[in-house]
Amino acid sequence: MTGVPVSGGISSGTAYIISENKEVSCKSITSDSIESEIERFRTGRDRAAKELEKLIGKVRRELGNDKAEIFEGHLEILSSEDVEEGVSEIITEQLVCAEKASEIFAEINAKEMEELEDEYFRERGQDFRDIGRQLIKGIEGSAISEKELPQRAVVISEELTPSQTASLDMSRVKGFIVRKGGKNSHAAIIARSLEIPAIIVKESDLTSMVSDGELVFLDGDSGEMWINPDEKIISELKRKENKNKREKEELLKLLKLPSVTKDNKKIGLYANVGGTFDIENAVKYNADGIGLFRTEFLFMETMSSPTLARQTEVYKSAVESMKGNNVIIRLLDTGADKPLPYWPLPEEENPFLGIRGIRLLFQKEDILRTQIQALLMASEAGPVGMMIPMVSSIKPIERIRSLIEEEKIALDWKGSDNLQLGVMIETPAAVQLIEDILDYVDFVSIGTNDLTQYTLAADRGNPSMNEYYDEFHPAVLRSIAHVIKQASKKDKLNGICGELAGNPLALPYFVGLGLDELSTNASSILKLKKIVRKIDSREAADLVKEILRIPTSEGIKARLNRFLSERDLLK
Amino acid sequence: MVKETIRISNPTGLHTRPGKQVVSEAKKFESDITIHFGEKEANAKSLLKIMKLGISQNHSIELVCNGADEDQALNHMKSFILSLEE
Repeated sequence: MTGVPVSGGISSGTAYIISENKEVSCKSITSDSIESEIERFRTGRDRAAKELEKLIGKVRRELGNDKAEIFEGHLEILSSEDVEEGVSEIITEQLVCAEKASEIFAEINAKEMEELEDEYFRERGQDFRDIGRQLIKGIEGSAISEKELPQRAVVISEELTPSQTASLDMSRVKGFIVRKGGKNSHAAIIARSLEIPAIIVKESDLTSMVSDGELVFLDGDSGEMWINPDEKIISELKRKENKNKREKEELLKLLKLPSVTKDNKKIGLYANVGGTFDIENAVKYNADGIGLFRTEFLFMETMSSPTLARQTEVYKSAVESMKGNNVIIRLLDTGADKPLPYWPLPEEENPFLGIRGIRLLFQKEDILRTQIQALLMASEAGPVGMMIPMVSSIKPIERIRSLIEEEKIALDWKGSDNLQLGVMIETPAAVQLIEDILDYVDFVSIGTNDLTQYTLAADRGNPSMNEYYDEFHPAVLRSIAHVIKQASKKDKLNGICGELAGNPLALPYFVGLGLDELSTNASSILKLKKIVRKIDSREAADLVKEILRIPTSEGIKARLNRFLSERDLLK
Repeated sequence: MVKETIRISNPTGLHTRPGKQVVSEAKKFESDITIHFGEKEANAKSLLKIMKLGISQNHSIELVCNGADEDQALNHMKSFILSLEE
């Protein structure tokens, strides 16, 4: 079977299938079995409570006490008499099975919460649905045997939500195979940052083709997977795995060497991070800084937005681990296409052209102010760059500047001035305005994913747009050149933090532009460093002149290929 | 039976986390402890019922304690709820 590769490497393990979010099929019961059904509920509830206790322990160890208290709240409700009475009543009156009764009970309570006036309480409805799911899982547990995550597990699932990922022991997970999601889904990003091979297999019956306990191999580079492969395939895969290992060891020799061109020009190789879980990787691969800290995951961890203390702790630990190097942290960048559980957004016809990024944050100023405060506090530990997403005019930059000043006054700020302000360049408007923007900020970083989609008017999430969504399109590359040139002229820190930054084919072009930094997955840093060290920046600058005259993406790619192959830099 | 009206001062009101803490405190007492809010009331030992009251910051609630240790219960619950910070 072949799918889409999303996180490289070859690995194998025991299949561990997560099948969830199944509709509870409405099983009606007869009045004779009311008692036994209530008994099934009680047993299931006790099982769910035990599971929840385990999760509380895990969350307390890994995420701290305040996170654990939310799940303690779930446990309190789940094991209360209110739930037992309510569910028993539904079983008795509606003559439905324990699972269905739990679902109905959770839904009724969730709806009641959602009718409350306070917006914050309305959002708590989700807590009740969560409790309902936990109950159902506990009750169903009587039919299926308790599953334990194998020592070497390949996790197979319809999709992986943040909370599912949080409850997995990542040290045992050797691979992910999911059906839904794309390259930038939560599971894919986590997999790449932890260097766990992952593929997306869009077969509709994925979870029924494999059984728990079967031996599964996957190749995160080609997207292939094998269930119980024969000896021949296994030895072939092992050979490939060893080859990868050797290549990696070879690259590790570059770890302590600086990222400079043949003629000794520095190109900073920064890391993209999504949270504490992959800052370790940035340190491990000796990143020159953090070029993009996505704060979305921090905001997805819990059922409410993270407190000032929690945010400060996370940002500060990133700054401390980078030991004085730049840490660029992006303000919460979310929208209708990636909503937060506690922040329901109205549906939009075109979410990518709608209220997202900074536009959304301005609507929830309290959340924005808290994040600004946390970034200020973190900047006491070292340099912090606050990056504004989705900027299409000067106004939001001015607004953020004044908010920073207001928060400094509110905090009676006497700390050091380590906080820099920058913009993520991702709209054609920002490219056009770059000279003016540069007068307002300390740095700019180009987000190539959105810049490509907005410049080419091609939705990056729409598979039938693949032909039109092209990062090597001359319009995209010329926009990048314009931004980098203007920023260098005004001596402002400039870089690239989208997918394209990690693409070796584009590397000679970026070196030729003389940009300050490229920010990629930490695990790609050494691969890029190897190439950077073999490129002469003057030759690359000549290449840029040529590329800027080529009108097609095909022509540009062919030219870049030739540049690399002439220097024996193509793998 | 003893009772007293207090005003909720913590920013998020009695939602999941503070609510859970209130329930844990209430369970330390033998007395029945009830929270009256508007026309609704809830047993302070039930998180589910408390949450469904939807008590937010600046809401006034009436604490009613009834039982052997009602005086201690009222004093303790009052100062506990007023000291919530989150």
